[in-house]
Amino acid sequence: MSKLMKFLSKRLRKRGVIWSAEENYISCLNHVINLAVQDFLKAIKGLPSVEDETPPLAEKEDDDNEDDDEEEDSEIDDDEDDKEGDEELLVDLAAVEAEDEYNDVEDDFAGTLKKLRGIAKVCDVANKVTFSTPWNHFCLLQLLWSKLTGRKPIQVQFKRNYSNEHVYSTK
Amino acid sequence: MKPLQLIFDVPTRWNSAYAMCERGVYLRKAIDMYVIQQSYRHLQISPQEWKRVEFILDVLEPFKRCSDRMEGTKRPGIEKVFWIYETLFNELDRLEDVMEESNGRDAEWIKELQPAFEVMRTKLTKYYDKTAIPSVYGDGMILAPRLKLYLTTRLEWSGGQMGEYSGAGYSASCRKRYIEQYEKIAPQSQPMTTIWKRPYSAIDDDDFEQMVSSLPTDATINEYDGYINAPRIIEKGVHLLDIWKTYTGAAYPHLGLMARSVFAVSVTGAGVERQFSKSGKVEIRSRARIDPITTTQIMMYSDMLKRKKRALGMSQVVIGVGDYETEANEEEPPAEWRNDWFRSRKNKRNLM
Repeated sequence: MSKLMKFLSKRLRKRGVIWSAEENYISCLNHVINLAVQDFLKAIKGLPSVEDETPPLAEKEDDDNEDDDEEEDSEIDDDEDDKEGDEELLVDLAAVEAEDEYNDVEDDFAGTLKKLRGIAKVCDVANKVTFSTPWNHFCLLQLLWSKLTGRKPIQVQFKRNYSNEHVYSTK
Repeated sequence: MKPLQLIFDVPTRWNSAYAMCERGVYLRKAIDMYVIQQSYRHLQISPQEWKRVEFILDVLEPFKRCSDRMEGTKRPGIEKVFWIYETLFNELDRLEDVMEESNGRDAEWIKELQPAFEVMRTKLTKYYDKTAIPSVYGDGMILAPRLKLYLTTRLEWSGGQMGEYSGAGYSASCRKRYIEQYEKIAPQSQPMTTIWKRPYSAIDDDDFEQMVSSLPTDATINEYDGYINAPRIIEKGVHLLDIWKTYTGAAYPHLGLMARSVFAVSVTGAGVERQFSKSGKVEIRSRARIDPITTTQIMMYSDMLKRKKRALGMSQVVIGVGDYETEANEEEPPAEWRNDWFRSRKNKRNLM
């Protein structure tokens, strides 16, 4: 029984109100559910550790729709050398940094969740990669591919690989 | 369509693990593709591991649904509490069945979850036991005109068919409370809403009126008994409080008072907490001596402004509304998410 409720009950009794702390203790159901879920995650060690440095969710960049991407692209085209170099460097750094961390990832739930988190991290830190509908995503990937390798986007065989069955199957 | 970002899970954010897994599974192919392209070998998620993620998603999904169900603050939820606990316990039972029945390669990793399920069950049981003491839960269930005692007649009811926690037990204690606390209060008579061209008494003949009022009253019949024995309301989509509004006008004026105080009890603190996080930084270090009433007013006012989608007209800087936290899922979800794409998939999966 929480201290606050006991205190409140005592205070009220002094004023002549009979108010039972136990009878009136309604715990927040959402919190209960959350506690259970947290326990579950803790048991499978699925909670993010402090070192994971999860960026706050509040940091959300503006909506980047396709127009933005195109703009970005054109910008990059303008001053190719600088931007491309930066981007590549960033990606490499993130990848290298991560690799040490994930060497000893075990084959269990915690490891899987950690990997998922790692991917999110790389996507976020390195490129602000976003995934979306098949077509949009396809474009994005292609863009990225051409940016990173300096090659022209590969057209056909990619598309087959890419075709996001999962997205389609949900319809 | 908006491009989607992957979601991080944050320990302090409810259901963020669920959100992460869901988006991960949703974008599975895209993620795989991306990882291969970038040649992050260490981050590659094997099909086996995707299965795990899906299983976690499956475990967390009912919890997420129940949590969402209770988050609203506009309507009472007290009558749902027992049922929600029941649902969650049933869910745990189902998961344990799945675990026992699993065989082959899946069995190994599903078995890893055994202790986790137990921990979860202990926690839930701990809080479920606490619901035995407050009377509001039972009263709320009984006073919901569409539920009454029918929930307790189901087989899954854990209180048994006899004793304090059976339907009869709850009913008896509710009846007792009604008689003790509410029966003697005089209900406020509600004015008739219909407006007649001529006053009522003028049209009708006085003799009939006299005869009607001379008839004996049913005062001996307890309102509670009358309510409990009346047929359950089966009409769909009627708001609980609306039903009670019509009830209190006509049949159960006293019991209406009880319903009013029972359904005023909020089962969740989420609304209040949301209000605090929405209103942003009101009490900050530079305003340490701010009066509690002023705090309330600022919070209310900034909330109103946000609801009306207006900014304070004074200047560009909005005082007190400042940098409030943006919600993780603020963007509009794709149509298939709203239609529960995951659930429709779940039925097809042979794993479950």
